Amino acid sequence: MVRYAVRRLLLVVPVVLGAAAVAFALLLLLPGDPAVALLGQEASGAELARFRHLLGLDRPVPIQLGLYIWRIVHGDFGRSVTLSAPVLQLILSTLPATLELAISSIILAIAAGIPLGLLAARHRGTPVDTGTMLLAQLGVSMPVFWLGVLLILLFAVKLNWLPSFGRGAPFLSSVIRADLPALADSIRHLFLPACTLAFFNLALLSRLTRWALLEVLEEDYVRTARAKGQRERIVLYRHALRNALLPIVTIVGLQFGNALGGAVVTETIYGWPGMGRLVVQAIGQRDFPVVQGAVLVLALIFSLVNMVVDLTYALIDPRIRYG
Amino acid sequence: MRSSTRESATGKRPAARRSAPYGTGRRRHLTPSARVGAAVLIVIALAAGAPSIFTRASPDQVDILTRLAPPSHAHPLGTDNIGRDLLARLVHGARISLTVASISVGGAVCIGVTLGLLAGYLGGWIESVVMRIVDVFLAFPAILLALALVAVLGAGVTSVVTALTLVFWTQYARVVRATALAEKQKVYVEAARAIGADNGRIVIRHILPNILSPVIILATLGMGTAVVAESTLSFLGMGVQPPAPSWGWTLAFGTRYLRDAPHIATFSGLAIMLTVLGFNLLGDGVRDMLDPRFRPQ
Repeated sequence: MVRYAVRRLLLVVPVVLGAAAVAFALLLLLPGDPAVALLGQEASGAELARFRHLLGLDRPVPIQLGLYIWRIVHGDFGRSVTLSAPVLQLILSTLPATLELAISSIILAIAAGIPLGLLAARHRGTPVDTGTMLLAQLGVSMPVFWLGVLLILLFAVKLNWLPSFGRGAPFLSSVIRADLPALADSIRHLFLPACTLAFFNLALLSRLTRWALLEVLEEDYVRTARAKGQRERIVLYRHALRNALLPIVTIVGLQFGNALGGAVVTETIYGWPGMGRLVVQAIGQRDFPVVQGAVLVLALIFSLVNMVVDLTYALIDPRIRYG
Repeated sequence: MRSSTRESATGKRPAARRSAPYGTGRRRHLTPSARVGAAVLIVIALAAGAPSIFTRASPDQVDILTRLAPPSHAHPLGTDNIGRDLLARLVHGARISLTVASISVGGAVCIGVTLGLLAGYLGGWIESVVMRIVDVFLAFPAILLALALVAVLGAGVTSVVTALTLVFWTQYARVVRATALAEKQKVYVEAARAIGADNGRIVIRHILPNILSPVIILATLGMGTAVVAESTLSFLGMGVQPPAPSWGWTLAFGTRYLRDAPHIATFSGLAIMLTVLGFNLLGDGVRDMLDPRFRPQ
């Protein structure tokens, strides 16, 4: 297992270097002078020349790429053009909000998606199955931003139950401080964005759980368990669900990537002060160092999550690590 | 002729004549839900191709006196903030969504199938390079990469199509490579090589037709994803620019009038969802039809 883990960890390195190269290439794709794009139109000729030399923009492209990766490795993501702050500082200040939103949406998706899939598989071919899968089909077809708008319309505009904008107190610190009013405020703010972000993943997960369970229920060992006279509940939970979890674990990892991508939209709709909103604002203001840095950090997180998922998968299924 | 010989030899009708073996010939028709999806898509394609069937109103006709009007006989879906007919804008917007989705998925299929075939069939360093590039692209959340690309290329239809193509090609490359790897081991490829076919002929005439099923399934489902992606970019102000009646932009604008005119955001979102639902239902049906693993037994 340790050898597999080391091998898998080493595989992340070229992917992250490649992601850095893509983030760097974004700058090359910019029409016009990258120095102007990075410093803004107001910069003087001398400033631009000094900046070009400082970043190596006056050198050949491979050397520029090498310098870019060198700076990234040393934590230098550049400075924001509009906010006049180091990009890394902006990223680190918004990352907790994005992770809070993404993780709570994944927990919601798992908590509702797997039981729904289980319900559909248990009642295969009945109206319960049809209804659940219809809901799931709607879930995977519904754009995140539209769902967000509908939820705001219902719960914030019509019923006035929940806030539609901003973030309350940070969830984790409220829990640690056992500050109940802050925790309630945090949950009230988190509820709508987390539900919006969770719905697609929830729908996907319920479809996958149903499919995986129906596959497993056809297996010989399930028939054997039934033949031994075990109760259906035991057969379903102890034998079938445990084996059906393998593909589900993989999908949950991929869904984290979906959640990070979806957070860009959800954070914009709900004014959630996370990295997604930071990226959208940076794009609107043509603040490319922030765009580059945020895109790269999100790719890094996504790659690390995928690695953890692969390791979990190998832990559950020995065929992976010995295969 | 061959089957009648076999029939006479065994004294039985061959099973293949009555029902094909599992996974080869059963269920060559669409499921009812896939037909619903196809019907929805036909209506939307008609709206894109011949909008006058649905409305005579112009999507750009401004009537400030009827701004933010709710649905009525004159304006079946109401009007927007400057009195333009919402039905006309949504009907004309179908063309934008379907065009962007078709071209970007088409482009992604071309790049993905070509590189996937090269990687799967030739192997070696070509496979390593292609698959590492795929890994790098897959490290980015898709919509984030598309956003970043549009940010540098500039908003507009061409940029959106380019960005979506660059984001979506990887999934086709991955699937095609895996399928080509399996196909090149098969006897028919060996037979083609034995009769002197070169690599190009083997790939194009023999392997390509045999890997099309998963590509068709992915492309059908990918159309829905592309419609959502295009709308998302427009919603965030990075996609097709106004005054073009893009669904995502109309929805984004509708969010400013949620209290006074919720119909703008509601109907434009419904148009996007129905289109995506249509592609998803059709895609699932095509998958059930073409992929034996998904056929009911």
